[in-house]
Amino acid sequence: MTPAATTRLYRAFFCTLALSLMLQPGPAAADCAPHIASVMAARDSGQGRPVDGWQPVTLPDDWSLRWPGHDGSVWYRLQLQRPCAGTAPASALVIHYLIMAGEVFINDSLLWRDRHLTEPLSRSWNSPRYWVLPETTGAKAEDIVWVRVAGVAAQTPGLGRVSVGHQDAMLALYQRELWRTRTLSVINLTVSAVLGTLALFVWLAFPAHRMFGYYALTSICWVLFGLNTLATEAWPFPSTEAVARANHLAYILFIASFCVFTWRLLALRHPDWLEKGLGMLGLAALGMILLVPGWGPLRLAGHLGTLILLLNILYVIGQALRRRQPEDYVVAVTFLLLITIAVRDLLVLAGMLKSDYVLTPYTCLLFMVMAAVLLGVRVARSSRRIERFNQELSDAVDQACTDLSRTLEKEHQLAINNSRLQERLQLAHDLHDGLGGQIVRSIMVIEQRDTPLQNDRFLSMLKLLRDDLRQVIDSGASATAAAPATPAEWAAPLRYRFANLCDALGINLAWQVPETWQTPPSALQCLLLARLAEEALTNVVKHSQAHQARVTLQQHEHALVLRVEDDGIGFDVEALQGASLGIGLDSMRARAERMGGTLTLHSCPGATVLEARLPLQDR
Amino acid sequence: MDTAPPLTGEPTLPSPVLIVEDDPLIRRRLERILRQVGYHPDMLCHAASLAEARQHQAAQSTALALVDLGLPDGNGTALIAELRAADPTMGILVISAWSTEDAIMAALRAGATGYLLKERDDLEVSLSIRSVLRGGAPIDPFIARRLIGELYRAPPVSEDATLSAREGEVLLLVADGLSNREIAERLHISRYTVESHVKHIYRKLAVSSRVRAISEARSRGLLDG
Repeated sequence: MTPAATTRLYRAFFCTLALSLMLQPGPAAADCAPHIASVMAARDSGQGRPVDGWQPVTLPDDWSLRWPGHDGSVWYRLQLQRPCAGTAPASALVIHYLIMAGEVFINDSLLWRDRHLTEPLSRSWNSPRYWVLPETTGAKAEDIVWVRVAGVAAQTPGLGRVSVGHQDAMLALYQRELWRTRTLSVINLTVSAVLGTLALFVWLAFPAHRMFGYYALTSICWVLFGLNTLATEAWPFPSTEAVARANHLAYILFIASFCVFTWRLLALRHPDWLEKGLGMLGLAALGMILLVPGWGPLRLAGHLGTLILLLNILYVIGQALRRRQPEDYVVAVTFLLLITIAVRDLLVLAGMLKSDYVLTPYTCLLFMVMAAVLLGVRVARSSRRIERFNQELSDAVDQACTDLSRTLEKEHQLAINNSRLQERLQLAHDLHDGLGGQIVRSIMVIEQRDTPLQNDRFLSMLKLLRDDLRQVIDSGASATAAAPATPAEWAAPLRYRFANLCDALGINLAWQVPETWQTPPSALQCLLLARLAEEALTNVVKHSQAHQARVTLQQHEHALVLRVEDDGIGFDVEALQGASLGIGLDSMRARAERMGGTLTLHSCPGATVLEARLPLQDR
Repeated sequence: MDTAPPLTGEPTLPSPVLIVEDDPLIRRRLERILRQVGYHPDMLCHAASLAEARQHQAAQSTALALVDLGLPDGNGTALIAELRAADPTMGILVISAWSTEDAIMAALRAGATGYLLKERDDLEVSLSIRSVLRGGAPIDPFIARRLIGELYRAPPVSEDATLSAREGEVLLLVADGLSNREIAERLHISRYTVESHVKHIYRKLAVSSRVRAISEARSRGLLDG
């Protein structure tokens, strides 16, 4: 703020106050009201109160206008008049502020003194003071208030407004000033600090929420900057100038973080050079503050920061209005309010609007709260989005599970169909190899005969076909192309069936099969061996009239040997060709040979041996 | 040796016998075998369909029934279940054509006391019938294996359906292919006892199936309780 502006500002304050004071007391009381008759100022020579060099001044006073470059102390002499002393209510004195440190005497007695009147100076620039004046002695209705102010030329040093009046009015004035200068700051900074700390912890816990980080940074810079309004001592800084530098530093950092925060909050897209340029400007300001000695550059950096801040606010308003999103409107409205309040306060200060108070100190609070609300809304929205996402995710998982099980089901069905197809192929193959071949053979046997076939031969042929068919059905029904796990399992069905038959017919049938396979035969070989055994045993049961019969399965190194022997009546092997008995055996021999095996038959009364040998393939 | 001598030592043959078979050829064959076993033609009745069989059953009780599975008006398994429900002691034989194990098992579950494979020679068919008449029941290793899985190894569904240790032994030996005589020797019991065990096993299979059916019906809410 330029000195001229400052003057205007305080003049405006003075006018409003004067107005209010004129309105308060009635005309009669006005005559009795204590008032300041004159104010004089003189530079301190270091020898107590100056004797000469007094000049009349008006309060608030900025001595740097009168004595440019004067760092040190200035004495102020205020002449108080209390016309109705003794009868009127007690009088009180309010010093609105003084820059920087000071001491106050009434007549010759010390009323109050700052702790440090030499560097580092105490800071009373934002602290109103209030004293009830002692009753005047005797008839003297005039008091002199001496105020010594210590300050530096660059910081508009001098005595601020001073008010005297009746105690109650002054107390009210003091409290109003106290609220405006200190309490409001405390509230402002406390709220900012609390919100900033919350945001900081949110950001620490969720670094992805960068917005909270920017908010925390902005708040902290604001609090650091604002502490200046509450500090009453320069500590921990060594001088008033150091305090000013630190304060400017915090100000520039605040503006920088504020700019970045507002851009991110609105997710503004702007050219890179803009941000970079602003960053360079900020760095330049910081450099000026930190590195260039003297007050001039410091003040320049401050003004630069203020300019950036105002431009950014206008820029953000423009962008927000352009985008027409509800949240952006909130930001735009808030910022417009900020600007409006600033303009209004300027008008008030310029005396063009009549008001007792300014609103600007509230605006930063307004912004902080608005930003916090926006952040809260965003968090709520994103957590709702996450909830919705979770719901969608779990729906998607359910869907995927359903799809998967459907696919598996389909694959399973496909596998079943495949295995059915495989079975049918196998069945067709079996029919072709066994039954089909046998039918062709039977046809040929009948065709090549000159004489009609006898019934029993027909029957034999048909029964052979039947047994073949039964085997195809059984092996198909088992649905496994695997060979039986053990020889006993291979033998079991035949063994049980013929054992019961032989029991009924008085034939003693014995089985000799090994415990385990040495080289497991193929399923096809097992089937053929079973058919062979069945055919041989059928012959034994039907024709042999044997008392003893034996089935032996032997495992040789490269062959599997099945022997069926009985002690029956036997038959002429040569004469068997073409007989009904021979049809089955002929067929079996042909099949064994197709599989690379042999079938031999020896028979004489009392000893018939059928031996089948199938080669085993090493696997 | 397609024929066997008539049964001797049979005090009385259970009669009348109901043959439920729609194919006249097969029916005549069965009648012939039954006559060889010792039946008089008067003791044999026949039905060509489920409806006729039910009619006959309503008019006259039956001691032994031979039931074909594929009948013109339905599956014989249903008839077996009805006959079993009407008379728990009746002998019921399934006449199976080229049927698979599953069809035979279904008939046994419905309450059949045995089965005949109709493609087998007369001798074997008559052996099966004789076995039933002796109070036993025909069985094969593949059926034994199925029964072991269903009754012996599976957790019992009820007291009535639990196999005794001896019944389990019989099943295991049948599955290994031993004849009834061999089993009898192995277990030091008579052949008739072996056959009677098989009959009991079939009965337990039917009980087990019924219990399962009831509990299934309950679990689906088709039955109260």
